[in-house]
Amino acid sequence: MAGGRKSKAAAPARPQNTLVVDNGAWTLKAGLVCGGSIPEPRVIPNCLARDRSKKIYVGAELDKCRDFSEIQFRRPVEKGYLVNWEAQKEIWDQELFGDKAELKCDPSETRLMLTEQPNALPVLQTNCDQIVFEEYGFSSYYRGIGSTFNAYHDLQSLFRTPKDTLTAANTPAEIMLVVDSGFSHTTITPLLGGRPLHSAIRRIDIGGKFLTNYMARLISLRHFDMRNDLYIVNEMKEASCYVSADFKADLERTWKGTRGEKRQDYLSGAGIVKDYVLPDFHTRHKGILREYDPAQHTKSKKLAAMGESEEDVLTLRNERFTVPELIFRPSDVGMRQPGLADAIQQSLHELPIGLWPGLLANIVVVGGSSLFDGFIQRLQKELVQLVPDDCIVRVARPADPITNTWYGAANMANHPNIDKVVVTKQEYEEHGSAWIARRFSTGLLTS
Amino acid sequence: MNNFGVIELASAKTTSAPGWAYVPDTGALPGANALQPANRKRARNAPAGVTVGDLTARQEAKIRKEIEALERDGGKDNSIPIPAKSGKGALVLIAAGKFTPNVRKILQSQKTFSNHLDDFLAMQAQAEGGPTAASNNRPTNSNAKRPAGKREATASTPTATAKPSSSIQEEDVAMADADLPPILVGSYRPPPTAHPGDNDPLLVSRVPELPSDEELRKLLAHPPLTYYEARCKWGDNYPTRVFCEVCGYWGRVRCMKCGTRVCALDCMETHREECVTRYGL
Repeated sequence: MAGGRKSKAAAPARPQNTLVVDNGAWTLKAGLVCGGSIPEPRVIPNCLARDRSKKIYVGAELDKCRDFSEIQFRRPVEKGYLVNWEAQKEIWDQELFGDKAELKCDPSETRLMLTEQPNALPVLQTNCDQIVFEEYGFSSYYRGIGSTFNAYHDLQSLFRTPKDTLTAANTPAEIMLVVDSGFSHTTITPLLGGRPLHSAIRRIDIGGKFLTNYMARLISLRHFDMRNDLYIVNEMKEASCYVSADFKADLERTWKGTRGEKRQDYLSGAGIVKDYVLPDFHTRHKGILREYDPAQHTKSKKLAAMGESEEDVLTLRNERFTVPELIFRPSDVGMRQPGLADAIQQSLHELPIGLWPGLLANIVVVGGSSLFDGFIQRLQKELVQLVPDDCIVRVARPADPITNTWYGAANMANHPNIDKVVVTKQEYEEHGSAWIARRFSTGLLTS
Repeated sequence: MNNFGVIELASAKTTSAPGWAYVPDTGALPGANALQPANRKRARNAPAGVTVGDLTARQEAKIRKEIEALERDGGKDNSIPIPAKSGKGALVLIAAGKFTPNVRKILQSQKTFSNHLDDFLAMQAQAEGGPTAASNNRPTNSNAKRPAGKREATASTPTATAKPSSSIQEEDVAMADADLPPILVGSYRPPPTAHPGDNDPLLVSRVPELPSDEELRKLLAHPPLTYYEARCKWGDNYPTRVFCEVCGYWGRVRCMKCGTRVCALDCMETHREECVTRYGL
């Protein structure tokens, strides 16, 4: 793979193709933007997996896996940052540059746009730059904080702001605040014209992974041991969990009551309790979420006693809303960090008050963990209580919060000013990686 | 429970094993009192069971361990080897010397994020505190080869961490003096026509002043924070909520032996079984 090491004569023209990669911990989103047209990105699991029969799956091969019980994962991205290049190269080689890859491209004639999480360690950034140029030999390259790419969308149509037809959507958006709640953590990034305000970027160390682990622990305590079946627990979490609008009331309704008097709500399920039928990977490959039916439970108990039950059913009660609640109250498990709304307020306090109205009226939530029902409503409600009365708080979630960053990056690849910020292979060879690191930290200049 | 003056400490350090340490004998512990009864009256009045301080230390250690477990990814066995392809596995390629030295070093490194983070903190301490601080915080696990690292430092690619603050500052100064267009453009629409009620003190709206361009440029030029600086600060703003560890309802009562919260008698009985097996009667 050292094909891109031949030297180029003059300053190379703008490459036709841009490979846009949003390299997440759970999935990587990749697509080839050719001359202005933006295709749909491929969403590939960014992991090596090994199932019970010791078969190893790389990246998208995971779709072929039939039995997800006790499956183990190895992820190149740890805590949001690309750490293990040995594994990452294996996945990239197969999905992006391999002979059978759908997105096959020649790096020496391609520009790469890569996302990263804010506040990365300089060592890891340097490693990344070195691999991109010295191993793959891309002709030019831009590495930016994932959240910043979300500015390259028509922000006001997301909020359904009434506007006159004359004004086209101006990208990057002038001012906005991006909340990125992903697999590893949740970050808050205020943006001004698509550039991050570094002093106000904040992070809570709670993401999808933490929530899945927490749910696995609760289920293992209350039902049966699922600590080795995190893949199944994750599916269960995605299917069943929601962010409660009124935590106290919901908790009250799912309580069993004191000894001797079972509560009516507990017996009937109160509209919150659901049954999750676990997959057995013979007849059922996906779990099913269904309404809680007390009558069926007594029946199935009898069947189980006779050894004729054909399905494993988990009854989910307060697990459904106490798990995502951790994003808003990490202290519920004893973690010494504030909740999301408080974290946004901490971020705002780093900035002059004049920017608050603009930031608060343009909050966009992206990332897989924002897909919980009620997430944006809860965030909006908590923020309104915290910030000055005069500020309007608007929180929106794009149609697909997982690929939104990728589409933003693709839009940016078509931006007329993009040539000013990318680094070419030639420049890298002249100036070295420390220079690149400084250059990328400022973000795109709009002027 | 006599633990002979040994207390499990709840420290902020992230070790996977619980930290044990000998601490000065303050006499508050029943075990220590029994060993060294300095004062007979005090020995008599000492509480028979476990003290509150002992309980909280135990609780904190438990919470810390649980959070570490929750932050881990996947199960116990997480080392999945790269599948060797027909003829050309990654190791074969590395051995064949098809990579540049930098790339080979990166690919061979088996460091985890916490290794990198420790290295970074050590380097930061070195930059701030001089050579004495550095000798204390040497990076412990460095699997990368030393010679490769040295060659890299002398080559055209020095690590960015060497002196981050000073070099970035220079860059900022160079940017500020140019005659740049404004960052926030005003409204493209003309302001609405004047209304006689505009000056009415009841209708007046207060909009905070927008920061000046200079101020905004300074904000934009701010260097990125480090990993720990960006983490949200914990202030004791709210009382922490406590939950029943068995069923998840509010934790209204506390186990007298281990301090675990439970909601009511039903859950207490469930908990007691576990408590007895862990801590004894």
